[in-house]
Amino acid sequence: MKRVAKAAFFPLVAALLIAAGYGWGRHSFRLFFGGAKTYGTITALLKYYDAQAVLIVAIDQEVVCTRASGMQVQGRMHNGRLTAVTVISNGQATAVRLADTPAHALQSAATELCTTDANGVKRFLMRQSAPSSTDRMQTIVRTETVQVIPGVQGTLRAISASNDIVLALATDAGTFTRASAYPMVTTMTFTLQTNATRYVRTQNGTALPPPSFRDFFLFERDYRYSFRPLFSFAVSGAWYTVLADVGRRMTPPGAYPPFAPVCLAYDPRNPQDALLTPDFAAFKTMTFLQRFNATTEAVFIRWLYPFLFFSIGSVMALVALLLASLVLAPGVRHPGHSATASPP
Amino acid sequence: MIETQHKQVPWRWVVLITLPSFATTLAEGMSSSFLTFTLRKFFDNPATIAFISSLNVFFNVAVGVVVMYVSDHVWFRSGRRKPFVITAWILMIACSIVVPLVRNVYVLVPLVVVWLALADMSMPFGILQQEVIPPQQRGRASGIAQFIGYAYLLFVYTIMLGRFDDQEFQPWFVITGDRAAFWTSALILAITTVFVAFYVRERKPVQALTSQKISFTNFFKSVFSDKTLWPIYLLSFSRTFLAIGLGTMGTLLFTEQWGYTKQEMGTNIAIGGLINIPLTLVVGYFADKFDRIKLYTYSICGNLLMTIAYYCFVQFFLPDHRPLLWQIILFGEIGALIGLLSSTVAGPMAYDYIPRDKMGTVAAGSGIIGSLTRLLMLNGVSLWVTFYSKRFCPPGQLDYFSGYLMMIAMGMVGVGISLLFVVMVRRGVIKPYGRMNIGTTEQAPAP
Repeated sequence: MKRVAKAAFFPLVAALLIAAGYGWGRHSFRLFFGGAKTYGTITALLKYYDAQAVLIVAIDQEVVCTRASGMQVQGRMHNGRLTAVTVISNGQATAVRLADTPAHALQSAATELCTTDANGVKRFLMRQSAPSSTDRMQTIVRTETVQVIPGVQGTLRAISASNDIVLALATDAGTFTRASAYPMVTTMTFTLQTNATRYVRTQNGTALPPPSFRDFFLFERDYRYSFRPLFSFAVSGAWYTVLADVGRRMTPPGAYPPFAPVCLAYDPRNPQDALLTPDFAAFKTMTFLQRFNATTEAVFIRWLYPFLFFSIGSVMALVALLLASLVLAPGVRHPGHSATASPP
Repeated sequence: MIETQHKQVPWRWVVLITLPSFATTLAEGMSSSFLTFTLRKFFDNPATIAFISSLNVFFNVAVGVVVMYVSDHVWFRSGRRKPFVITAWILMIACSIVVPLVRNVYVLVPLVVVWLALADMSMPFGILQQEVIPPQQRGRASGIAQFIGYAYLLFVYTIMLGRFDDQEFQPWFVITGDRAAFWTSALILAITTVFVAFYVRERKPVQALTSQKISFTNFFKSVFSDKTLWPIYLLSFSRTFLAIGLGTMGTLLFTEQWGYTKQEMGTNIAIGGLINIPLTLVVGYFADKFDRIKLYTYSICGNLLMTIAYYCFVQFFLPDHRPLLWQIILFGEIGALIGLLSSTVAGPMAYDYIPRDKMGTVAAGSGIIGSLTRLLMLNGVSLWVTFYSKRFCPPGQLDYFSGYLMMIAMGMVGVGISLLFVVMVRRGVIKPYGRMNIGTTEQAPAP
């Protein structure tokens, strides 16, 4: 009995693990290799804290950079898209035409400032101030306004969305609509002279006491929070909104930026059956190191668990084979072999 | 059934007994970067994180050395190494399952402390492996072990570390990246435990130390009472100073101060590790070609200069004080090359000055001194970072990179002590005992 158990253990473990890997990855492999592919947009984010969640449905950002000469550059973004850049100099406000090529660098700078965290702002500021120019940047004030549907609880059952705007969602605990959304406004002020960052936050117009100094969404640094994207896409003129099966704790740069385009695979017969997939085409423009990181990250966000089960299962299968071979063909070096037997 | 104490074994035994190294390395690896990020969930103070993580070094001596010594002097029904190893692994599996689930710091800290101690309690597994593999097969076994080491590097740093914060939502449960890492480690260790428990048999050695009395007083006396060994201990003390890094601060510098993702950090470490493979071979070649004392002197000075150059580059040249990934790799690799040179030369050089019958004693003494110095230094770096940040940074901001200042200061002390050793050798105060008794008629060559 003991011998049988020992002989069967490793083959059984290998078979179980490989089967588990197949079971875990079957659906995603089927959609990725056999389904249709398209691009969609992240339309909202569920921010979790334990079982509690709030739904982030809109983000507005405004950034004002003041230079030593008094000149100001103001940038505005709505749902991840730059909507306006204004330069104020000698009391004259000049709107930058966003479609113009010469303003591209300014656009990029405004976008970077709007979507970066306090450390990023400092880095940006250092880069901009590096030349020994007399007109150094002095302050950056960034305001983030997040529209939040509060207190989302329970397992998600359905989502109502029009174009790329979430209107309501239903869970087994009830229905939560956009009508109940409130604004969460965070203002960050960075002063170069003192190298200090100051945060002020209001919720629905009421100032929140510390420790509410952190951003509500952008670069949340509290490990207890996690974010899960909702993405929308169109198939034959019909819009579908799906809650992703992957998410991430905190929001490090680049992970599920709100309102960003995403690559996805879906079942053409049932487009509601869709999942986020790696966007390999987007990685082609990157440098080698960036591409390696992005590809590894994208592949293993999607298929980490099937990979783990398959790889461990394969090694166990190898061990089972080696053990079986030792019984079936011990070889001349085997201690039991008459030519090599050694005393205990 | 794989057995110990054979003069010759099939190569399949060698592969099978070497494979568990992956499980043990993975379990140990969990106590580095993964543990830092797990502790970071609960602690803001880097000194606390560094202190808890550095207990690993303390247990190397307090548990690891003791268990290895005791395992030489006992015999149980299932062997002398296996009882320690199996017990430690079973408890480690339990800890690995529970650690990522804990939400209370008062439960987490004792659990982590026990886990770190258990990791060292399983150290006799290394000896068990060597008891299975006969001496003439150990060279290739070491090659297999190195291959497993690289597989570990790729697996942990390019795949698992970057997934630490990921979450996958299945219909009935949510699994996070940190749980996946800890539980994968637990799963592999569980399978390894079954393998070692039921497929490996320890045979009682003919000449055993089981009848000898276990005496730690005698052990410490033999290690530290011989004055001829003190210069060697001084050298290992200085080598620890030179080899000290940022420890857990390095992880936090990468992710929190420089804003790189865990994926980028992991890839960086893995690339560095893989580049080191050919470098090790090249350095080994040079180490045998040149005068060791000279090579050691140049390499430790070069190492210190490299650290200073990197600090100046980041702090004074880069406008945002944030190196790019390729710059980190470039500086890291040049530093690693010089570091490899000094560590490759230092070992054989030290043995030139140790009497041949004292090599085991010196290895134990150097291990103890190195571990304790490392424990103090790692905590020293974190306390320095905390002090520097409070003194020079805005409230709530930590400058992990300031740890490099402490590293430079310690490097200077290390270089100073090493140069003192070199001067003492040149003046003949320290004698090359290791070379003197090669043959009765042979003169000791000039160092």
